[in-house]
Amino acid sequence: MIIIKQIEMRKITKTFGNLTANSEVDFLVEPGKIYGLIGENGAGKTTLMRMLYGMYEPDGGEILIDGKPVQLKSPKDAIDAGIGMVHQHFALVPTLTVTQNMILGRPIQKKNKLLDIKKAEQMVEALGKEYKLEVPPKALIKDIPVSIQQRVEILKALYLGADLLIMDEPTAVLTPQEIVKLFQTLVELRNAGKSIILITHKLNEIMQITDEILVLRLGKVTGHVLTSETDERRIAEMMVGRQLNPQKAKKTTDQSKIALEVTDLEYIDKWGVRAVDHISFSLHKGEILGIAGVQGNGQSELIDILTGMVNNYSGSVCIDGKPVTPSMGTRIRREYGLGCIPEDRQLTGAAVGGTILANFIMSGYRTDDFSGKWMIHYKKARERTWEYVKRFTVKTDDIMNDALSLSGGNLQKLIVARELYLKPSVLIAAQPSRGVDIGATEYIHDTLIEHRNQGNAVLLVSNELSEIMTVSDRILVIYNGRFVGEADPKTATEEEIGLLMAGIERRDSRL
Amino acid sequence: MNFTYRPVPISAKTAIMAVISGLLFGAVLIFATGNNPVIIYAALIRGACGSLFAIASSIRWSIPLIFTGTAAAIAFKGGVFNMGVEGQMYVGGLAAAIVGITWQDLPGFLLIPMMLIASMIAGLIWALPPILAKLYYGSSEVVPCMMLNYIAMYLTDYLVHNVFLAGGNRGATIKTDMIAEQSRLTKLIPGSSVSTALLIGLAIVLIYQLIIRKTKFGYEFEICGINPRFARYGGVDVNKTRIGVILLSGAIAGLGGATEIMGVRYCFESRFVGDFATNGILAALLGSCSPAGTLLGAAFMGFLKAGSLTVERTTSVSRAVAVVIQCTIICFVSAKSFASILDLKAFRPGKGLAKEGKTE
Repeated sequence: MIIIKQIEMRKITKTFGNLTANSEVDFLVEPGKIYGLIGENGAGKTTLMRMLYGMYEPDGGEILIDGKPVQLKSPKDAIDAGIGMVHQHFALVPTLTVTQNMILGRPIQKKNKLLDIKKAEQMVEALGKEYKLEVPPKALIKDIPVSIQQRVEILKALYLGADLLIMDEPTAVLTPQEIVKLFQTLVELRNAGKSIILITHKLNEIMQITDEILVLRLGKVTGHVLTSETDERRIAEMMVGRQLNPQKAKKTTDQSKIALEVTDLEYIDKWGVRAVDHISFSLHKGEILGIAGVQGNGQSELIDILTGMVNNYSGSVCIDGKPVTPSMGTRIRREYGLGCIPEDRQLTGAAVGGTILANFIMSGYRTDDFSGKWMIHYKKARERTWEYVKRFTVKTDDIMNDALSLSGGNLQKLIVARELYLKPSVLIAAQPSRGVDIGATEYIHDTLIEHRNQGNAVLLVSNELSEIMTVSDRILVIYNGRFVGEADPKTATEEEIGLLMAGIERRDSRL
Repeated sequence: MNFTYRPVPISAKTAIMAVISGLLFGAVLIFATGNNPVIIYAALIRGACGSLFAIASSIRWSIPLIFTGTAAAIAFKGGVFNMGVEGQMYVGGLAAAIVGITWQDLPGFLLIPMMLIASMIAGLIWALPPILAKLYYGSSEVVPCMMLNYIAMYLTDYLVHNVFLAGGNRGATIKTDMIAEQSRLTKLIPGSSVSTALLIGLAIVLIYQLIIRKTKFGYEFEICGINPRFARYGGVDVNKTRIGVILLSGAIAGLGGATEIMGVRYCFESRFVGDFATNGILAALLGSCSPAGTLLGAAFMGFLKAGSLTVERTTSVSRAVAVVIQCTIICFVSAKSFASILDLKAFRPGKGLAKEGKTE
């Protein structure tokens, strides 16, 4: 049974105080199409979709379903109207089973009003078969991988009768293989007559799968185009509202000296998995070394070892000529000249709940720059923070604001500013552009290249191959905790490196 | 269950609304017991600030809470849940009393600092085992802290009963001999129990303020309280910092025990801590663990205590009603704080939304 529905948002406006999140947005969603909703952080994508899902009410304009105006006052209204949403952070109860989660919103009951779990499990299985989204009905959510959890979310929306599926950054948590699978699913759903809105900031994905693209900038529609009639560069320019800058030029640098020497690292994690498997490499001064790989192949563990967050490893690490033993903590490694932009901004990279000032001075407060033996001279610290906030174009009107008030891109710029404050001779940059808009990504890449041009070493770890290809001087590919190949970004193709990332070894592998 | 505590700032509006709701709830309760709430509240206010004696009484009951409150606030700010304030206060009080009884001949300017230092050392020693258990054996600090409270309570009783019992006392009351005259703290308000302990308490609050506003240690422990992983990544030795935090907290709690004995009782009495520790923790929560806020919280709790004692003396309503009012206020204020104590992110939907709203 397919109910064909056309949903239209007409001249939608939404303001929060002085901020206009959406201004006169028109968006027509027809059945059987995949739409891409793209824009930088803060462009109003999520706000627009939350209005469609009944979480906010628009201040102006109207939402029409099959031509009739409707009031969506709560997600329940939206669900009843056939709209489903899969949030970026899943709304599943980890300690309940897949089936229990599925029927939370609409229980399947026996005559005596008790839950009919058996029938529900059969329903889950049948629904999974119908949409080729098989899930284990009896498994606990916490025991199944993220990609399957996402399937449960999609199935749940379908079970509740969604004809329009809104997906907020669905690929952020998936590996490339899982992304391919997800996209196959989405295409199947489209072919079955459902419409899908994909909120994303990843250009290549949106080009790959969508039929139409709606571009938002500062709450306004700056483009509504057919995917077949446009290209990534044009979309990017609609997003940022200007021509993209060419990447900063790399100077020739003296790369004869070694900045970071790593020999025979081995680390077995708490589940007994050999996450880092006898890794050796050297990083030279004046070089950006990119480590490419699918997430979960030992990159996070390698970074934790280098920064000293993990101490029960074996092997040797030498920072700027000075050997460090496993028991040496994070402080001494920083003193030896190590800086790190961590992969998780919220958990590791910042203290959200602390001020911007408190977040910035973490790298410098131990130096005599604005501290005495016991005291921190906050007046000086504030001056230094303002100086760096301005230089790194972190958008804020007060450094005493909570770091939480910064958008993702601005928080990342603040972290980059902090890590470069001490001019580390070895800078680790892990997923530096994750969840960051195009403007900030450009800026961060230029900053990394500038740091390299000054004769420092940068270790770039990223899941995004395009980032590694454009910024690095040399590429190492990591798979299953070991390096499986080395490549020169000037000569290698994405396909070659992609094969290595998938663990398919080349005959003429150079390692 | 995870007892990681992150102080959640409470706005003045929340605090005032909670006080009003608590008083209203209390009024209903008083009415239900067949009394006139207006008369009872009038007695309460009279008892807390109706006369110089009343004000002195309020201050007297606030002083120990300044110490226990600050002790709790420092620990919470550093992300350690020091539930052992009570025990630390007992051992601190006994240490001070023993010094004050033993060296009767020393002049006051030597004896008083000796007693204060002894109490701080005793308090910090009492605070050490739970944090070591937490850091090196992965236990929660809360349970050992609470168990050590009982141990402190009964151990001090035992020691007093068997070693330091007051002369001529057959054990009917468990108390020590009086401490030396010269070791007693000077009265600030003659005829009352308000002594220079108040000044020591204010100095402690000031030092706390100084530590978090100016020092590296204060910065480190505040960051450890907000996000320990970030602190470690940034080069802070989180374990060392937390040990420092709880030692400081324990020392202040011990000092609170000493000043109670040196300023009010002049001897160690069994169970002298009473509700100081719990009320101090509540004062810290009321004041969002900030120095000034904790001071205000302590003053408010002292006010309620002084008032409720008068209520009990002059009306037919039991002091229990005041305790109920007190607890109701705390419930209203800290519904938010308690959620964060238990790290129940799911129970703070407002916060989660704000976060998402800002990243996009």
